[in-house]
Amino acid sequence: MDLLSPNPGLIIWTLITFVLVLLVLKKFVWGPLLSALDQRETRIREALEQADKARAEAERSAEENKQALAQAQAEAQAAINKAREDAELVARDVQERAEADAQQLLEQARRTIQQERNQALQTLRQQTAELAILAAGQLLEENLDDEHNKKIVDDFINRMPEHS
Amino acid sequence: MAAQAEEQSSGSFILEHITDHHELHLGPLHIPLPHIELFGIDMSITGHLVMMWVASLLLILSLIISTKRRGLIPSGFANAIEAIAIFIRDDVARPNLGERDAPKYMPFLMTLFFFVLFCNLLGLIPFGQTATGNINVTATLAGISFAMMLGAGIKHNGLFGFFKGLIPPNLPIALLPLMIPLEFLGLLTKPFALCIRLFANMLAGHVVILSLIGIIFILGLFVSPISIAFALVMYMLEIFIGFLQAYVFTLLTALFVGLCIHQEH
Repeated sequence: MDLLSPNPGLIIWTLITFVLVLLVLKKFVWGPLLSALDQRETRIREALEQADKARAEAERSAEENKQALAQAQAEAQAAINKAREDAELVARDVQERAEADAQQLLEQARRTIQQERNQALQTLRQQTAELAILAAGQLLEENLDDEHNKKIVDDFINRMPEHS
Repeated sequence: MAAQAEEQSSGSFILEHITDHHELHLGPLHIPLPHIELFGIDMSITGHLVMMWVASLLLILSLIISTKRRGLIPSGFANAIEAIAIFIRDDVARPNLGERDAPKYMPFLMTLFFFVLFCNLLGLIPFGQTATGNINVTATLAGISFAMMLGAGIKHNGLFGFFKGLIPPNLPIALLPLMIPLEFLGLLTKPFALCIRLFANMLAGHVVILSLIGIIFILGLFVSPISIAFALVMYMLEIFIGFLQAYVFTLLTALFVGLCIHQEH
């Protein structure tokens, strides 16, 4: 037979053979094989998606934990700071009040002392004058005019130094 | 004179090996095949047809056996089949036919690939002949591809829409008498190219191998190491071409079918 001679019989046989092979393979091989491929790919995709989801979940929960921890720490720090500030405030207050009280007491005492001293001095002066007049009168006996003597003694007393 | 005669006989020895016969040639054994005539057509069984049947039988048996015991994880030969299936699906069917239409054409494309592959490779086995080195066979396969193209195009775009889609849109009316025959010719060229490509590739490799062997008979036994070395290289190349042409045939079929479905591109 020639190389390029047409052979209708062979054409028809080829057609029949190919169609038969196609039908047989489609039924027994490609159907199961392709569906198995799809099934496997679906399973792999699902597994991967699930893994991704689980990882995201884990990451999220770790992040949440971290945030909660940070928040708790911040809160604790804030509480400590506030307590310290309060304590300082109270301490300062107490100290100030105590100082003020002490100052007040001191002031009062000083004033009282001054008052008492003045009073004492006054009394002392009067009594000294009277005593001096009395003593001088008795010594001199009517020798002298009362008015004049009293003036002399007053002058004397006034000339006495303040702190004697 | 004698050398010329020998050359002549070498030439005929090559032709005898690559052409079809009404006998099955198994080395020196020539088994006569039955002559059948149906409805006036010569339906005789030929050597290439027998080889095609052998290839089909091997194909069906090996695929069924290898894929029968299926788990979720394939092994051995089933793994290779799966790798090819995934390759054809992801790199041939889906890019050309689209994600949506690809699954429908997968069985056809897979069968086409393996059918052509087994026919190609059977020709490389001793006593085997290449059914795909017969232009009648490749023409039929190309015709099947052409039918798929037309069928898919008409199914997706309608009979009128399909033929209207062949002509580029917004074409000036004056060009129509020129473009209609051109586009029609373009449509016919596709299967014609498929047919000739496969036929010529399969034929050429065998002719080269047989010629290299034939040199031994022309020049004498001393060239046999060189001849056989070259023939061996060609043989390796032929194995590669067997795969390559099966792939190309499948790829182009998918491409052409895709072009008929998505005419807007």
